[in-house]
Amino acid sequence: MLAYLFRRLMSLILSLAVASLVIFLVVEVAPGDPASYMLGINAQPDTLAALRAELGLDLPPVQRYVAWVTGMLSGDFGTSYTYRTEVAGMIAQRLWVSLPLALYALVLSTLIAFPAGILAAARRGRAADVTVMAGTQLGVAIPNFWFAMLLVLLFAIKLRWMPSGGFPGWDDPAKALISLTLPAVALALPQAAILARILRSSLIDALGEDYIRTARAKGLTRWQALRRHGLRNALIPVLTILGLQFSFLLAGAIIIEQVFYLPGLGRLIFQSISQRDLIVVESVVMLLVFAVIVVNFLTDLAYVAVDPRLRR
Amino acid sequence: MSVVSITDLRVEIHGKPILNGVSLDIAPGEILALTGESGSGKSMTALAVMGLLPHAAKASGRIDLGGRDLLTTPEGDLCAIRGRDIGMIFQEPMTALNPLQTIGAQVSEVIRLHDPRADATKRAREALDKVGLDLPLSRHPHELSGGQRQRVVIAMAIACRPKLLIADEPTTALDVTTQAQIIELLRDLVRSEGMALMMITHDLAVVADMADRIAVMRAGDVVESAPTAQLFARMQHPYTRQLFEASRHRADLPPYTPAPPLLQVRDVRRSYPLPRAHPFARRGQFTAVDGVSFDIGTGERLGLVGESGCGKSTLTRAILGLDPVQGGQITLDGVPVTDPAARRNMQVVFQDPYSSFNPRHRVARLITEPFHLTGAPTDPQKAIAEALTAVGLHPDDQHKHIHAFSGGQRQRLAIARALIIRPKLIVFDEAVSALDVRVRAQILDLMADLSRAYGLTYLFISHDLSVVRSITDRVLVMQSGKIVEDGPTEQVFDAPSHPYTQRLLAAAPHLPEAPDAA
Repeated sequence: MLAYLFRRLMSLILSLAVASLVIFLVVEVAPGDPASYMLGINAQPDTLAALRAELGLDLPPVQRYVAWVTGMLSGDFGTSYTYRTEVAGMIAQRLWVSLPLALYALVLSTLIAFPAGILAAARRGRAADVTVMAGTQLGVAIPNFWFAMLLVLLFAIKLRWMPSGGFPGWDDPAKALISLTLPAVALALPQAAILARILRSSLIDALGEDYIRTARAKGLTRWQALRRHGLRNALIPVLTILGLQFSFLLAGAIIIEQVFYLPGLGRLIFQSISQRDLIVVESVVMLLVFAVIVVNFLTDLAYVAVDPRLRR
Repeated sequence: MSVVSITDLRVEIHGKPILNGVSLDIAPGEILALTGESGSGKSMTALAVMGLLPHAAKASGRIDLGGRDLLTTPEGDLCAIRGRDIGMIFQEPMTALNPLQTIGAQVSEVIRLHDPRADATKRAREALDKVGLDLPLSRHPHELSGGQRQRVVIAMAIACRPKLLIADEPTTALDVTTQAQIIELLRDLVRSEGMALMMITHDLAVVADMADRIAVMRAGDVVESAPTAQLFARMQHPYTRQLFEASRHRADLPPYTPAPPLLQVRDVRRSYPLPRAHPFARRGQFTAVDGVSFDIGTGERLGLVGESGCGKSTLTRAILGLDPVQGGQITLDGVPVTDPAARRNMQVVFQDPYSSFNPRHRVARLITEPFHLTGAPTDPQKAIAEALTAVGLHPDDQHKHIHAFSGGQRQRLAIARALIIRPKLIVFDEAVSALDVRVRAQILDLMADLSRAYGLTYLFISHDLSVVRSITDRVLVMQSGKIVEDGPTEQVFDAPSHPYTQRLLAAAPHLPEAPDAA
């Protein structure tokens, strides 16, 4: 058990180190000089050189990589080339939108997927199953930005229950949650559809196992056997998908953020790339990588919690 | 007064008859063995009594348990009966338990389910003690051996002291010594608790000295049912006689004249790294094969027996050149087996005829696969026709897919696939263990015929001692990675010298002597 944790932790640290190096190298070889981009095409060579010195771009790559990593470790992500403000502050501000949105969507998706997947597996081949499968097929097929626009049309423009976009900040948590609701639903539904399908097939596999027959021979009803013996055994693939989905929700919400004018991480990274604000790009990507790796680590811990065979 | 009384039980699935009027009675404290080949309907009979038939099945007739007809009992009431009045034990102990729950939780669940006020933990402990399992309740199934898991399943089945216990091939997946213990346990439980036991098995020998009565089933009918001694003495139905003869069938091997060694195994050691106990611990090594040496002469038929975990599979993989060895050497005709030149002189036939063929290919392609080792022959059609004819199939069978063949026919195809490149050595890895007795007898005869026609040399690996006895010249007995006995088959079986071999032979179930032809 301890050995397992230790191995996972080591692999987490190693992944982070490798990721930081790759990110740095990729940004390094990417075309475009941030200094000349900031000053425009008519900039004087000496002004350019001065700016490059100020930004530290004239230092050798190894030195810049070390400075970047040690800075991050102490919470200093550098200064944005474009906005001349602390990158750490910018990210923190955006994170307060993206993280709650991702969690909100994940909770919604789980709340929808579990009842749907369990129902479909328990009533395999019957009307309920066919309905759920058709619904999830639709959920997987419909692009989430289009679904988001439909939500806006219905709930914001027609019914006027919710704002069509923007984010008022967390001063009033109720208002903030309401303005995150439509984006969260738009993000959650396709995820829920995938999750429900995975849960269904994994549960159907589990229900075909011998231990379910044993459970029925003990006198458990079909439903009791599913709940007590099937569900937990079906959970491992579901946890894998949940982990992947969280990472996606954190970073992949760019389009939804655009549709709802949300100041999230996705938009920040999109803007920074188009403005050659490399220091911001590096930092946000690193943060996302960090999030993904940590979520993977948590998923691994969840496996162990579910399956005693992994505790050794 | 019988515990359970089955009258004219008929079951059909999608209009196809599965059971055609089965009638059986079991008295308290009585052991009824239900025997027959696969597909004879013995498991379906058990499932019908449990009320756990597949959805598509339609049942008629009457199954009387304590004055109640189980076939007309609603599902809700059946749930209360299962586990309380009827307990069931299954074939595969490795998968019959929920891997995520402790054994204590799984045994106490059945008690709590039928008696919510009972001290379930205490009674679970008692049930496990009764089946002779002295392990903490907090253990998980993966920490137990197959025999221990089967004891947990039995503990669950008897925890509520049911009137009827159904055991569906409870020892088929177990080693002989474990099998003997489990049979002993079941017999004692039936006697001490006064339960009725319906024991389903394909193996007559297993029930020969255990059952009070034996019912022989074929294709959905009970063809003969009689007290055990009487059944073995008379065998009124020809089918019973066929089963009996097939069970003790001895293939007629041509004599072996000693010849120079073909396969040489010298001091082979094969070990696996164990998981670390803690992050800085040294990796332990598990030695699965520990200094094994033997030869197989050209034309010799060598048997290898041992219980699960003894290292015979590991040794087999090493002989086939699939795994590297950590010490020693294996050569075929002087060439190391890891060399492709040696690979083309060796073929293997596996245990499960259902999973060892790609279902999407036709027979012609399946059995010509080994030619990739040697290069295609000049006349592949001739080779295919010869190989199919040699194993008793028709050359036209080459155009069929594998699903068109029965288990026995598939095993013939597996042998054809091995034979087609005329290898010097064939490895039979539990090759007849999954087959019914009559089919098994045919395959053993086929192997003897092929030995005569082609001068086969083979290594026959099995846990089934009686089969090894009938088809080999010499036998090796393996225990904990070592060969503990090596000698001519008859000598080892008649006068085993090593205590382990003696234990194995004592534990193996025996059929009574053949009755005089009536």
